[in-house]
Amino acid sequence: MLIEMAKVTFEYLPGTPLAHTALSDIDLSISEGDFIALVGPTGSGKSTLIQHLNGLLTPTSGSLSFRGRSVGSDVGLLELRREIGLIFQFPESQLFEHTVADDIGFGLRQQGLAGPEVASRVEDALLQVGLDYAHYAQRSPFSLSGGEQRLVAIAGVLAMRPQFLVLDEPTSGLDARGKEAIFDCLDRLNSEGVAILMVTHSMDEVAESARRIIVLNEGKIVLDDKPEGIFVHASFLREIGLDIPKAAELVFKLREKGFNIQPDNVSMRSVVASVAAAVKERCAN
Amino acid sequence: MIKFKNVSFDYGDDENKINALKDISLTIEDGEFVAILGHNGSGKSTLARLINGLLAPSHGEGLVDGSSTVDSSAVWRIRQQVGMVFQNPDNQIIASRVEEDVAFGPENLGCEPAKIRARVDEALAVVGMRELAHSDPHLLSGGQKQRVAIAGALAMKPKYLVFDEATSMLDPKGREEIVATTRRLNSDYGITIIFITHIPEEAALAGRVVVLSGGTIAMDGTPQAVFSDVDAAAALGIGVPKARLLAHGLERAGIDIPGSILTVDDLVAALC
Ligand SMILES: Nc1ncnc2c1ncn2[C@@H]1O[C@H](COP(=O)(O)OP(=O)(O)OP(=O)(O)O)[C@@H](O)[C@H]1O
Ligand SMILES: Nc1ncnc2c1ncn2[C@@H]1O[C@H](COP(=O)(O)OP(=O)(O)O)[C@@H](O)[C@H]1O
Ligand SMILES: [Mg+2]
Ligand SMILES: [Mg+2]
Repeated sequence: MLIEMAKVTFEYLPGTPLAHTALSDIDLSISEGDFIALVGPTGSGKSTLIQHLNGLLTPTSGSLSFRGRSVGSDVGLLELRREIGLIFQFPESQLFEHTVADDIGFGLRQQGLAGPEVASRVEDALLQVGLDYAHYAQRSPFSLSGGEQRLVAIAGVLAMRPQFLVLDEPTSGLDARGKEAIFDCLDRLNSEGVAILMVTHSMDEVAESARRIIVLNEGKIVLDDKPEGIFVHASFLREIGLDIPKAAELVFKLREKGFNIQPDNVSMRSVVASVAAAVKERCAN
Repeated sequence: MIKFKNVSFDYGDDENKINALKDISLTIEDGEFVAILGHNGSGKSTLARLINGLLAPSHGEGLVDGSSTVDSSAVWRIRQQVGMVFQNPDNQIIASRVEEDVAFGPENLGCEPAKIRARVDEALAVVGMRELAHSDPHLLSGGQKQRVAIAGALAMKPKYLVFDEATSMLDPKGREEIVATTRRLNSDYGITIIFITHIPEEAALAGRVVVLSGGTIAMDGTPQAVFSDVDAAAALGIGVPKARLLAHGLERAGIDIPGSILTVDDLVAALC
C-alpha cells in the first residue's frame, strides 16, 4: 500500500472561536499505480486532504503511513516530498525565478543535480506540458499569460519525476489543448507506474482517465468507487453541488426514453459506440 | 458601443517584444452577450485590459461610446462604464463586510452616502446577496464571493461588464450561479457582457462567440457556427461543448444528426 490514512481528522485553528473541522474520520488507502480523482464541492476539504499526503499538514488525530511506515516517525518529510510531487491549487503563485528554465530547474538543483542533467530534464518537462522550449525557456514567468504560468508550474513538479503525483485542480484555466497535454502526460506517467491523485471539478475529465473516484462532502468521504459506480448517484451529486459527465447524462436520458443502453462505461468513446448501436437497433425494429 | 479599429498591442521593449494582439478590428454593440474563447496566451486578457484603458494600444484605436480609451479626459468615465470581474475572487475582496466591499467603488467615485447606500442595496439585490450584506466575504463560498465582486462592479452603474475567467475557480454549482447572474444582467438590465472563458459550454450560452488565436480573431459568429467544425475548433486549441463532441462521434458512426447541436437535451431530442 502506497498511502494509508486511518481515522484522520483535521481541525483548523483548534481551541479558538474560529476552530473548524475540515476533515473528519477519513479512512483511505491508495495503492501503487492508482489513478484517482478526488471531487467535492468548494470547501469540502479536498485541498486539506491533499496537503496531508506530503506532510504540509499533520492530522489533528488519526494516522498516516507511507509504504507501511508511519509518517512523522518512520518517514521524514524530506523523503516523503521526494517521492510525492504535489502540485498546489494555483501553483503559478509560487513561481519566482527570473526565467522559466530556472524556475523549472529549481527543485532539481536543490536535490544536487547540475548542468546538462538539469537542462535536459527542464526541456523534457516543458515538452510534457506542451510548451515549446525555444519559445518559453528564457522568458520571465511573470510575463506569461495565466494559463502559461500554470503549465510552467506543473512542469516544475514533473521535472522532479515523483513516484506519486498529487494535483490540486491542475486544469482550471487551461485551454483545451493544455488540458489534453496534461491528461496525456498523466496517462503516460500512470502507465509507467506513477500513482496519480487529482482534484478536479470537471466530471467530464474524470470519466476519461480516472479508474477510481472519491467524493468528499463536508470533510467526509461519501463515495469511493469506479466511475460507473459513482455517476449512477446523479441526483445525490447534484444535491451537493456537483454534476455528472455529459456522456453519462446522455446515457441516462436515453435510457429514460426506453433506449437499450447499459450504463457500465461512461467514457466518451464507449458511450458513442453504445448509443450508435442502440439507435441502429431501434431503427431496425 | 465598443469599437476596436486595427488594434495591436506589444508587451516588453523593442528587443523582447511580444506581439500579443495583431491588428484586431471588432465592434461590440450595446446589449450584446459576447463570449471570448482562445488558447492560452491568445490575447484574451490583453483585450480585456485594453477595453477599459488599463492598457493602451500600441497601434490603432479603441473606442468606448465614441471616446478613445487613451483620452485622458474620458478615462475615468470609461473605467466607470466598463466593470471588470477577474478569476480569483479572493484577490478582489477588500473589506470585511460584504456591503462595505460593494460600497468601495462608489465611495471612490465620491458619491454621497445616501446614494451609495441605495446603489449597494440594489447591486446586492441584483446578484441575490442581500441577506448576506453583513457577512464577512472571506467566509463565503467561491460562487458567493464572485457574486460580491460582481455587485461591486454593478455599484459603479456600468454599461459593460467584462468577465475574465470569472468561473474558472468555482465548482459546478458556483459556476452555474455566475453564469445565471450574468445572463440576467444582460437580459433584464441590458448590460453588455463580455465573457472570457475556456469552457465551451459557457461560451455556447452567448449570442456571439469570438475566438482569438495568436493575437488575431480566428472566428466570430454564433455558437452554432463556431462549434460546427469540431476539427477546426481543436486546431484553434479551444475544443467544443461535450454534447457537440458526442454528436460528432455519432455522425461518424453513421447516425444522422444536425451539426448545430450543443446541449445534451438537444441531442436526446434529435435521437428520439
Ligand atoms: N506582462 C506581460 N509582459 C509580457 N508579455 C505578456 C504579459 N502578459 C501577457 N503576455 C504575453 O502576451 C500574450 C497574450 O497574453 P494574455 O494574457 O492576453 O493571454 P490570454 O489569452 O488571456 O491567456 P490565458 O488563457 O492563459 O489567460 C501571451 O503570449 C503572453 O505570454
Ligand atoms: N487556512 C485555513 N484556516 C482556516 N480554515 C480553513 C483554512 N483552509 C481551509 N479552511 C476551511 O476548511 C474547509 C475545507 O477547505 P479546503 O480543504 O480548502 O476545501 P476544498 O479544497 O475542497 O475547496 C473549508 O471550510 C475552509 O473554509
Ligand atoms: Mg481547494
Ligand atoms: Mg488570461
